[in-house]
Amino acid sequence: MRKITFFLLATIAGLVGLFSYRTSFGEAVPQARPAEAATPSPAPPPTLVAGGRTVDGDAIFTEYGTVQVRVTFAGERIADVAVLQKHTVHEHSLVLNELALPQLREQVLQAQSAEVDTVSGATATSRAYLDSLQSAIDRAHTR
Amino acid sequence: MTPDRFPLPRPRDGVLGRAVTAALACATVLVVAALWLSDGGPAALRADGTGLVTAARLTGLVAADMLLLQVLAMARVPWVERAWGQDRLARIHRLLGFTSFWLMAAHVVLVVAGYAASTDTGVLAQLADLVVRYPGMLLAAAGTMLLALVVALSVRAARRRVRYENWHLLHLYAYLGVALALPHQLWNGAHFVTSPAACAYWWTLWGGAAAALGVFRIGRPLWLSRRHRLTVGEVRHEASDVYSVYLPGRRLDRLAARPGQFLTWRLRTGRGWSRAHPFSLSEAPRADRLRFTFRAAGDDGARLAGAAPGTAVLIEGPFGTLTEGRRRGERVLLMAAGIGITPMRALLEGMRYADSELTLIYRARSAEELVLRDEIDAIAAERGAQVIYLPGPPPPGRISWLTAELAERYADHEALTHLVPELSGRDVFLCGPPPWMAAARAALRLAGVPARQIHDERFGW
Repeated sequence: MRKITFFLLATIAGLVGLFSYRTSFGEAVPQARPAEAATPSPAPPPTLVAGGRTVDGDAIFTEYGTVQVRVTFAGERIADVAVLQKHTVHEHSLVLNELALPQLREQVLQAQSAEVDTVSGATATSRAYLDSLQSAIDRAHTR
Repeated sequence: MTPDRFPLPRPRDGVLGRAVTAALACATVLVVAALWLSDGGPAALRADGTGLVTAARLTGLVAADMLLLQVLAMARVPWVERAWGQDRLARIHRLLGFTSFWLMAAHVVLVVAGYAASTDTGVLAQLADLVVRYPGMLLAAAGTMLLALVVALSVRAARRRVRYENWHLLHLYAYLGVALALPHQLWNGAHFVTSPAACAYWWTLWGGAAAALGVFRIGRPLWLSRRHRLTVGEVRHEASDVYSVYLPGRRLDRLAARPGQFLTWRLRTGRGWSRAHPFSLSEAPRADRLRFTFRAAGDDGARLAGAAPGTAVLIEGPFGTLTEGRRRGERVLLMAAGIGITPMRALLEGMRYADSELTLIYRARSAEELVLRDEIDAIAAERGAQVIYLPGPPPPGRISWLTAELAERYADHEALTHLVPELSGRDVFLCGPPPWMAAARAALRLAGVPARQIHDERFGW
């Protein structure tokens, strides 16, 4: 019985320790920003294009949340892609957003189409982004 | 021809109960597999860069489900106990335990490798990131370590070195490990975060398991102990290190214990009272008294043997399926070795049989170790049972159910045919040390007794 009391107290102490950590109640610890980004990097400014017009893509629902983009066209050219909604469901989605969304934007601006490679490991995010983008392109052309 | 003097009970060997519980268990695995499928599992498995993480999810889900089943297998739910018997449940628990542990290990490796690959991070950095930042992951890491500890201690080589009581105490950490691993599933698992139905299902299942534990491992034993108020009436020394404990109590007919069953006993002596011992009833249970007989091994045996009259007793049970319910025919052979006589002694008294339909073979290492012999003789004389005592050392160099003396003259199965008339038609109930039971079972099979007529329980501690 003495042994049991000892184990019980040690276990309770361990649990108190564990539960005093912030993630133990369902919270996530935000990602640490790399040093160069310590100054809040301004959101990619909506490129001001003379005569540019913006078209919103469809909101794409996936198991990780919703993704929607806004495309700025300068004539026929894709001048910019901004993200209106992105995956939020779990911590790893946020990591993948940071990683994949800028990369996708670069590729799209270069290729001037939604037909670019998905980012490895972020397939769902990429597909949703590109689908939303494609719907915006289609809409722009049918206007 | 045996006239129909008494109705034999319908064999209640639990086939239906086993089928139903096994089907339910399989259904829970199918549900998690369906969850994974509905989220596009197989497609994501092939997709660029998400294969590892998708496989990790499947292994994690199945591992968690098996952890749940393992808890339920040990929850002492009465109808599950009746269907399977505690010995088989313990073996299933062990099998599920090791399987789920390896699935869990695969889950950890796959998640870390998959996330590391997709974010271009080192494996160790990714592991640290997961544990430190993701919700519920510190708990899950602690839970994993507890489960790893429990599994390591349960590997046979390690288990032999730890005293049972200590091993059992540490094994309880598995509950904590399982519970600590649960939150991260609900907070990070995409299925549970996005689908309220899946989330509700998971909560229901785990809530149900926790409730079953509370009711059947804690509530019911306490309630039974209170209702029957068993106390130590007398501890009687039988032979060398064998003792019988007589336990008067109230309304024991309501306990519905049957001959051949065992209970888990906690004698509330001072220090060490919390240690529970499973011992068979060594006489047919009466409405006002139970009795168990045990071999006092170790210091805890001395504590039990020294229990003062009036000591309160907590019980769990009754457990075990080595009862008349397994019986298929009229003729019976009981075979006991050593302290394995206890349930056979209860069956000898409590079974239904007519003159000369029952034979008891009782093996012991010496005539002095044939405990309970006087009462066995008395019952046999009254009921017309045949008793064959086989005292003597076992043969050197081979494992046999016989004494050395008989083993010189007969093969194992020949001895059986010589000793027991009409052997092949009998139901045989076996109890003794596991190697002895294995030898006896082999001899019975060779002598033509069908496997379905051989009844035993194998506890492997």
